[in-house]
Amino acid sequence: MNGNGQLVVFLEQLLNGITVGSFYALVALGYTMVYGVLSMINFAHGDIFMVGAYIGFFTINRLTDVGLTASNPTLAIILTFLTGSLGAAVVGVTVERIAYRPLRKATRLASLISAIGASIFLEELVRLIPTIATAIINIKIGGAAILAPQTRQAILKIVGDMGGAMVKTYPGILSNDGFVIGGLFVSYSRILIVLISAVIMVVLYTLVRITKLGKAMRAVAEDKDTASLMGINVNQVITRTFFIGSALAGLAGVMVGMFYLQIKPTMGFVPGIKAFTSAVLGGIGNIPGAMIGGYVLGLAEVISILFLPAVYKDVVAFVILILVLIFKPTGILGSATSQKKM
Amino acid sequence: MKKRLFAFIVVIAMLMVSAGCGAKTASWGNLVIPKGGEVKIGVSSALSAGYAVYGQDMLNGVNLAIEKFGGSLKGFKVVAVGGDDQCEGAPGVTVAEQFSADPAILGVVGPMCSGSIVPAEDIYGKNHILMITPSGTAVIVTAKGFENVFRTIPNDDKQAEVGVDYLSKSLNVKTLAVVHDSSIYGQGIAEAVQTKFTAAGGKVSSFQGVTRGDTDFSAVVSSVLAGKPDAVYWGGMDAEAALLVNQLQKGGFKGIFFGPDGIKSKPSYVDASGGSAEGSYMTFGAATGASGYDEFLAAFKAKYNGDPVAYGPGSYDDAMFMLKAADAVGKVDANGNLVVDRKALVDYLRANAWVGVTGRFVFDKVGDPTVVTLTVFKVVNGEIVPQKEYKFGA
Repeated sequence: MNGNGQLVVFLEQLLNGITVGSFYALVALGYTMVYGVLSMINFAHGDIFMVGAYIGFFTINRLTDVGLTASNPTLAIILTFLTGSLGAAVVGVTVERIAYRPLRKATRLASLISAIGASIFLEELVRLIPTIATAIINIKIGGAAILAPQTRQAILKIVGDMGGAMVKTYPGILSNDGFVIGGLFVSYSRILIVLISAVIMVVLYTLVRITKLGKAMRAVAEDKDTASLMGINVNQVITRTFFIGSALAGLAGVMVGMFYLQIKPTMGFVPGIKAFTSAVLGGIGNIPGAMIGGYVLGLAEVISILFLPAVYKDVVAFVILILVLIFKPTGILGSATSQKKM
Repeated sequence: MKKRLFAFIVVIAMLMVSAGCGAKTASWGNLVIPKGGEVKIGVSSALSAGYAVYGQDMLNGVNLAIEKFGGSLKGFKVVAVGGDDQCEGAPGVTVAEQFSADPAILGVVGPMCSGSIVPAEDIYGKNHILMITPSGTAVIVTAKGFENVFRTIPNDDKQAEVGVDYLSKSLNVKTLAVVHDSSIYGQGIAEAVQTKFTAAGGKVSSFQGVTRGDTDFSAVVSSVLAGKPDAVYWGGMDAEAALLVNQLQKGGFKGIFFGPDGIKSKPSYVDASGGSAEGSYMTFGAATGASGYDEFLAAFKAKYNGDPVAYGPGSYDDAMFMLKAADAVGKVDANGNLVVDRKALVDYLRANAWVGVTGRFVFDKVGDPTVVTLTVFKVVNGEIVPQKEYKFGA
């Protein structure tokens, strides 16, 4: 291989790293925002990401049923992103309400364990939805089924899109095409992913910096009690933080579905851990830190492939986590005080 | 003190004698089903997550076989029991322990994956449980020499040979990149392909392993494509193959994608690839001299409202052979219990030729079929279409 070829491979790997990094960064933002306001690790966040992917999958299949995916794919993609992230946001807020809020005054360990419980609950719920639905619609009253067989079939088909143990496949709505620039092949779908993520992150950063909600979030992060005395509705701010963080995770979930096609109930676990690593790497509680952490981790993983066998990708990610925790627990952008300022 | 020493020596001596006796009169024990009880056939396969399409297919095949056999063995009801081995070692061992502890298990169809079989067969071997796999292709599966282990599919050495022959002769591939999923099955066949392709005069531009269950292979794709291969051989299963072939094309790859039997699935490989699997190839093993496949297919479609995926027919055969052998060697005793001598069951299976819907099988002393066929398939318009047949041992 000549020098130019090596350069192209290197650039290609950079591009791969940025794509993967975008996913990590989007999910990492949710971890870091929640840590910022509550000083807790929301371990159910990876599963919120998975729920977003499933809601998006459900939406896009219904849009395909009514013919919108064929007639206006752009609108279908936008609608899928919207429902996926909104749905995930609602689930995220609900989890906060049920699993975290009652424990806010308890020890930190209690809410951590509650988060792990919420994570397992969401994963199993998605896995069992079709089983539960089948059991319900097959209930017989007085020996006769309540629903006609055709109705049952139709319901099962729709419910089947909501979960189940099997892998689900998104319709291939993004094209595999792309363009070649200096020997480097760049697919359109990749550009779309990177661009959407970048735009979202800039919007989020601006939101936290200049809007009233952002100010309130930073105030709550700094000191909940004082913020409350200043007339800030702390519970509302926390709910909104969960809403935004979960919406980002849901968006990332839909993106993963569209880009990689396959989704499954366990898909949230590894990205969740990687995003957590990104958040810690960037300095947990720090929003630009989470973005930088995501990209650094994504790049580190793909660059490692130039030197190490591909199976060591995850090893590299977690070695980085351990090293950061040992040598700079506050992360790249974190410092002892800015940790809680967002 | 002396008394103690004496007692100790006596105990040791007794232990040695009893151990010696045990070895001499090696009885495998009987399967005894009390009057009115059920006979169970264990099915160890992936019933959740990525490879569940295959696992369900196996369970369907076994259930159909039980139905066709008449639903009962000498008047005792037969049922299939699924065990989710997730195509991995540790859950495979758990399933093996559950099945071995169940006194009503006649035998086991599966495990589905070589990665589960290799640790699980030690347990089935120790407990003398008949095990027939329709899908465990790794060479090592029968290499341990267990008498109770059989398979109704050719091994990966032959599969690699066929793949390499088709790649180098029919498709004229000069440079091949090999990627595998680091499993016993995937890496095993990938190494065999690498060796054979190099021996056939071809060039292997890269050889890499990835992690099962991963979704992003873009980094591997980039490094694979840097070697400008004419074709990529994938050693592994359907779920990752669908992602890999899709990401290869997203990376600009226009060459041939080739894989083993683990990717012969329409729902979980072809349909799951978003169209990228079109034009790719795979090998799948069977035996010659099949009989009754059309009737099997009609019955399968009628029962399950769809075609078998891959190992459904093989599992049907395995369960059918098991039931027929048990019918031949089993007896109902004076108390009305069903008694099947486990050793006689295995000996009977090995001593006879078996005609099924996937072929005619004669097993050698390690349980491998002696006469086999491998077929190369291609994905054409979203369907898996046979291209060329290779015969071995005919």
